[in-house]
Amino acid sequence: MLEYLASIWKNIVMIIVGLILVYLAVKKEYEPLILLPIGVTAILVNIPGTGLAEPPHGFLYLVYHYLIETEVVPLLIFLGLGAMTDFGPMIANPKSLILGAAAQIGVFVAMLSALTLGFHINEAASIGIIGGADGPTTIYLTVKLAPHLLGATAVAAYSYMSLVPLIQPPVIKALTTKEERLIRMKQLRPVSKRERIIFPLTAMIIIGFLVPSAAPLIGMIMIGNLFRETGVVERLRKAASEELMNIVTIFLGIGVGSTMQADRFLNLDTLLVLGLGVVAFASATAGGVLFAKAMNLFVKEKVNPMIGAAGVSAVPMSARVVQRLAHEEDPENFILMHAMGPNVAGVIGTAVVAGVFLSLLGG
Amino acid sequence: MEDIVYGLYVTVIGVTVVFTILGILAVTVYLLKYAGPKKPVAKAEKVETVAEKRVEEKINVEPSVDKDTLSMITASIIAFQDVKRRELEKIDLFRKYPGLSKLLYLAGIRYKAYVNISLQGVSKRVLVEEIGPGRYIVVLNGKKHVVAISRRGS
Repeated sequence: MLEYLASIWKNIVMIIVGLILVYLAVKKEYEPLILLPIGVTAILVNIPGTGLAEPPHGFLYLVYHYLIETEVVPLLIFLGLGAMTDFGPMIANPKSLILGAAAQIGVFVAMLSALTLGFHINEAASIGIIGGADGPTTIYLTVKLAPHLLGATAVAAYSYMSLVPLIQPPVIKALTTKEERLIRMKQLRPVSKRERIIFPLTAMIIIGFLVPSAAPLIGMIMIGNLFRETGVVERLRKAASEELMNIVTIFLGIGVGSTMQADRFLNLDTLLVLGLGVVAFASATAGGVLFAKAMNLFVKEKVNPMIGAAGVSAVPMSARVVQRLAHEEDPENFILMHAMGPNVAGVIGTAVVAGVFLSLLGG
Repeated sequence: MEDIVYGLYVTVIGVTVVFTILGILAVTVYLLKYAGPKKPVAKAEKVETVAEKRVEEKINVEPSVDKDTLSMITASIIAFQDVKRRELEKIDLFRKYPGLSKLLYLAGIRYKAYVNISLQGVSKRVLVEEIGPGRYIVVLNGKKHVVAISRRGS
C-alpha cells in the first residue's frame, strides 16, 4: 500500500492543486469560466489508470491534440473577444495605443528574467508573454514555442489576471504621486460608426503586412469586431460572443487542464513560471505607468498616469482597478473610459509581441 | 550567455516593432477622426430642432427647496414609479395593457406608497402620492411638497 502511495504521490499533489483551482474558481470567483474546467480536468487526468490524456484515443488527448495544439480554440476565443471589444475609447484617444505598447515592456522584462534563470529562449518567451495578461495569446504562443509549459503558463496567466486587483494597486501607488493620481482627463469625443468600421480593417491590413505571424490573432479579433461594429450581422456577433465563445472556453479549459499531468507539471520549472508570472504582471504595470509619466512631460493635456497600468490587457479588470484607485483619491474623477483605451490597445500590443516572438524564434 | 544575448536582441527588435506598429496605428486612428461625419452647420441644426420637436421635461418645485431635499424628492418619485409599476404588473389586466393604469385617475383612484430613500448615509421614509398625470405630493420630514412634471413641445 505504502509503495503504491509512494508511486502516486505526485498524482495526489496534482489532485490537490486541481482542488485548489476549483476552490479559487468557486469560492473566490477567480476567472471561474476557465479555472473551473482547468481544475476539474487537472483532477481527472491525475487519477491513475484512466488513460484520458493518453494518445492516441484518450478523450482529453483528442481535445488537446485537435483543438489546442492546432491553435483552433485560442483563435476562436480571439474571434469572440473581438465581437465583445469596444475600440471606441482607444479610437477617441490615440495616445492610448502608445500606452498599450509601453505595457508590453513587462513581457520583455519577464522574458529576460526567465533567461537569467536558465530557461531556453523559447520557454522564456512563453513565460514573458504572461505579462501581456492575455490568456488566449499566452496559450497560442506557448503551444507553438514551448508546449510542455502550457499548463503552467496558462494557469499563471489566468490566475494572475484574476489577481490584478491585488497585484496592480501597490505598483501603481509606488510609482505615482497623489497629485498625479488626482489628474482629471477631459471627456472623450464620440466616435463615429465609420471610424469604428475603418479601424479594424486598417489595423488588420497594417499589422498583417508588417508582422505576418501576428495576422491570425489580429485577423480573428478584427473579424469579430467587424461583426459587432457593422451592425448588419447581429446573429453572427451574438454567436461569436456568446454561443461560440462559451463552447470554445469549455474546450480551452479542458484542453489546458489535460496538460497538467503530474509527471509534466510537478517540477521546479512550474514554480519558476508561477513566480515569473508575478514579475511579468508587475513590470508590465510599471512599464505602462512610467511611460504615461514620461508622456506627461511632452503633452499639453496631461494624462492620469494610472491609465498606463491598464495597458496590460486583462480587459476590463485592469481598467476597473485604475478607476477604483482614481475614485479613492477623488470620488468625482471618472477615468474608466480613458483606461479602457490602453486596455484594449494592450490586447493588440500583446498579439503583436507574440507575432514578433513567432517570427524570431521560429515557432 | 548566448541565450541572454539573443534575448536582448529579441527585446530590442520586439520593443521597436511594437512601438512602431502601435505608433502607426495611433497616427491612423488620429487621421480617422477626419473620416467621421462633418459637424452640421448652424442652419441645418435649426431645421433639425424644429423637425424633431423634442419634448422637454420640466420639474416644478417650490423655489425654497434646498439641494438635498430636491435630491430626496427626485429619488422618491423615481422609486415610487418603480414600486407602482411592480405593483400594477401583478394584475393581469395592467400587465397586458400597461396604458390602462392611466385611467385610474378617471376612476378617482390615487396611488400612494412609502419609499425608503438614503442620502449620504441618512435614511428617510418618504410618502409619495400621485395626484394626477405627472403630479405628485411628496411628504418628506413631515413637510408636504407638491411636484409637477410637465411635458411640453419646444
